[in-house]
Amino acid sequence: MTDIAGLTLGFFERCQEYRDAQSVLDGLASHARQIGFDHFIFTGRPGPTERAEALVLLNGWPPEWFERYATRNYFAVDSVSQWALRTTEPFAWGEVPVELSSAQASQRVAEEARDFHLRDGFVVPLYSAHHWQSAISFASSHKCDLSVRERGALIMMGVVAGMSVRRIVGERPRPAKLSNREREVLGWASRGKSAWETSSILAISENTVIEHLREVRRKLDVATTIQAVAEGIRRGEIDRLCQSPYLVPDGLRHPSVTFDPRLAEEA
Amino acid sequence: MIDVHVVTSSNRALYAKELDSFFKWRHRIYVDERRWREASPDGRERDQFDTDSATYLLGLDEGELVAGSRLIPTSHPHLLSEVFPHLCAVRGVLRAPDVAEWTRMFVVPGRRERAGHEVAGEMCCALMEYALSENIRQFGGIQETYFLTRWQHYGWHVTPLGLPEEVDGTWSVAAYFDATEEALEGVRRATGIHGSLIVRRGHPRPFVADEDPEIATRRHAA
Repeated sequence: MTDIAGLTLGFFERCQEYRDAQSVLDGLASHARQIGFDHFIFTGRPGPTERAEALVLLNGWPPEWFERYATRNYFAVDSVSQWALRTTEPFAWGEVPVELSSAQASQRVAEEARDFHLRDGFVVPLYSAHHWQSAISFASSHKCDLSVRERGALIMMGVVAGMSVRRIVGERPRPAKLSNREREVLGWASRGKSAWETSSILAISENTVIEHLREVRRKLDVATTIQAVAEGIRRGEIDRLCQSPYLVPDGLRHPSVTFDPRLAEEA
Repeated sequence: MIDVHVVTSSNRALYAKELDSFFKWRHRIYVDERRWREASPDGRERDQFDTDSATYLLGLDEGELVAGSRLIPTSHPHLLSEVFPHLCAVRGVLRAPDVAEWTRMFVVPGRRERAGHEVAGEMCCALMEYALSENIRQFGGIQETYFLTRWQHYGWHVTPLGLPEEVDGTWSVAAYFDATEEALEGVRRATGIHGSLIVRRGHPRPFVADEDPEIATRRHAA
């Protein structure tokens, strides 16, 4: 018999030391597998007009299933997701109140999930210090009758993974890669100033501004200046200069801060 | 900001009124609200750990008690060792004079936020400040599992002693935090509180006695 408690506390300890989201994802995946959960997803609670997939922080779902779930907006009808938003208590998928789970649309999602070997699972709702709500859902390919120890282990794993991702993704400042002048130029761009306007503000030539912006895009590895602004905010490069409140990132809720392993692979 | 006063068996005569208010609030919170314990005829909540070895940190706002906490050296009987040892199943119950159990942390209703500062955050700053100043190595105890995200927000290093279990319908876990300079900086940064909150009047007893043989041996070895 595996020592779930010892393994989980070992994972808890390691997870606090991880410095990037990929390590948390890999660590959680391998630990969850050891106790019979092959898949999991960690997502923020979407606002009324937001799409849930933009808030996914750790994605350990089969890619095909995730894509279908996102494109068909299953989040809105899946009773597991819906109950995760309403409760603060951890729950097994089978414990979702029957008023929600008996809905036809929800049952269809559950059936399709089984085709991807997501048959049963356990959800851990999480709260951050600033009431940022999220939940992590673990999925298993078979029916599970979870013991108190297994539930305790999943709660512990969910809490520490959530804590760690929050620490990593919310962590700022990182080592500044942009020069002061580049940050300044990007800061004005973030406030909607054109290259010409920025050149008059800073009393430099328009060509110099364009040159700075090109260098900024290269350093931030993005194609457009708009993307550079988003990336600059994400990295904490320009929030010192960025005065407009709507540009200040709201922690993890900013879509550019989400983490998708498939993107990491490409990069 | 609140002042957080250190009260031990050696200076409690100076705090008769505040301590009485502390035990009365405990009755309102832990008996009337949470129903953890039986009602006491005198309307004060005390348990078997309120002995001379306990240290109380009382959060006072212009003399009025708004928050409280209790610390007990884990070398003495404490809540985890006597009541919840099963929550320490993996790493075992900690027992050391410089490891403190933190219990009965509360903020009185209606005073939970003050001038933009969360009083609970001020208490956490005070706890870490006190622990560092008294050479306490670690402190912690039984807590709701979701509290762990708060410690992460403060940048504290958390060591659980076992898996969470449901206690009175709430998933709870035994966990301790390291007392370090970085942890104090972290909680001050996260709460926006600068400078000391701890006040010592009279002569509060040091938490870790210098003559404690275990500590003396460790100091000697170092």
